[in-house]
Amino acid sequence: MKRWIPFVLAVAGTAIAAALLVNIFEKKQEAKNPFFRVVELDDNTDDPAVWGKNFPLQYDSYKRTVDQARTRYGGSEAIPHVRTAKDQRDVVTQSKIEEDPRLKRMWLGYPFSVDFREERGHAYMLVDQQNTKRVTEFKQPGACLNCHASSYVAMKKAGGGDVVKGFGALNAQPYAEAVQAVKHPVSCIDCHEPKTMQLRITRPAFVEGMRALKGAAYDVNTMAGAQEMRSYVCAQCHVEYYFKGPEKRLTFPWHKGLKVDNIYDYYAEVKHKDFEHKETGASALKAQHPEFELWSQGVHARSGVSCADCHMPPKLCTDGDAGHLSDRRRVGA
Amino acid sequence: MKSRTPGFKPSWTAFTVALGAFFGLGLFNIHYAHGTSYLQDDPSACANCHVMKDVYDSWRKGPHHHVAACNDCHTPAGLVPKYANKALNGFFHSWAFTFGTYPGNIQITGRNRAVTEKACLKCHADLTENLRAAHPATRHVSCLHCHNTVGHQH
Repeated sequence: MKRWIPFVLAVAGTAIAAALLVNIFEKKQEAKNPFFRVVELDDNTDDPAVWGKNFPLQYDSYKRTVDQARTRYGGSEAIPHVRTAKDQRDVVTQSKIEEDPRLKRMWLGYPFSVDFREERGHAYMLVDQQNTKRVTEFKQPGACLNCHASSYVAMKKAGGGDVVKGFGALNAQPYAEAVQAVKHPVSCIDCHEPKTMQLRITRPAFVEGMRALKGAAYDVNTMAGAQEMRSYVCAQCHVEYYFKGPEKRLTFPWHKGLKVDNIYDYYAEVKHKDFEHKETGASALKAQHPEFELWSQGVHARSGVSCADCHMPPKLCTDGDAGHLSDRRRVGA
Repeated sequence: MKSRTPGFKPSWTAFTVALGAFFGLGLFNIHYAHGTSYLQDDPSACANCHVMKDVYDSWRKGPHHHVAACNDCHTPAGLVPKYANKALNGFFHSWAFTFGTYPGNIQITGRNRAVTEKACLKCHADLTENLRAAHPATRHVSCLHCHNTVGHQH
């Protein structure tokens, strides 16, 4: 047999294999930068506009939480508002206690009986808190800011790099003082690790709540699955809570479980009450917004459907955005 | 092209080196490109090529991600048809990705669409029996015509 034929084939094959190797290498380099890196993000970048330079599509849908339009899935209606000395808003939502005046009497002795409006999109969480009579006419602690601002970087700074220490410090401060440390409503860094964009838990109250629920060894950031995280990041705030003791430590009452009876038993044991009813003198509890607890008991949690699956569905277009307009209107969108 | 002349006869050493280089480099290519990952069902293998990143990401956030992965819908039932389909798609996908001969907005081929169409029935055959029986056998009712985003967007 002519030996040169397989020889030439082997040489040509090697050349093609080398060319293919270079091509695969180039494609792998392309894959390392799936987005156009305009700015460097680090663990102190709490301004969502800076993140938006790298992720303009995600930022765009995040910003759309300013929309106020009622759809068949809910939402709030924009109502014009005349500014007052204590309330600087031009637009608000309808007052729930005016819609149903029984609430005023039911919550007598509790700040909610004075001011309680329909909730708006994430974009308004900080400005609405700063202007509600529950904050302007009552003494409130910095603990309120855990979930009404992008407070991760503020907590880290207050604790000298230690978030848990800063969490303790921020909780105990008076609201007017603590609010100086924050600038933005919930932002990218509150749920995303800035280098990899992976979901992560930034709120110590949730870390502690999950330890109370699942045992002291449970570390949510290393032990939770990817699909669980798509609910847990929301559960950093969409939960029942109270401020524990004179240090006003934000606490999730999950020590006996997530059901309403478990939570009631826990409150009874630690002798916590939200307020004393002014007319009857009864000790009273008012559930805040236990979305995570209710979801946990339902068919969706059992079937592995997370919060984000319905409330942040991918948009029906080819831009690759997961849909950061997270509110009630996105359900079924 | 001296080597092409019929009188050319490489030494056994040169022959062995050439053959060794070919197989060595070839094997390294397979390793470097995670060639063996395509033999199993891990959906991340489909995103080895970054062109599938968008599809992969939206599948991970989509409604079927905890019950069906890529191979459940994009390969036919049965071991031989499954791997024949994988080999065929693997070749054409590699070709397209290497030479860039594919549209920016990736389109599924007719053959692969038929595979996916059948795959719906792997799980939903009982559920849709009445619906399918109500149509004449000559007229196929397409699942994907309406449910084209249950797996992923795009």
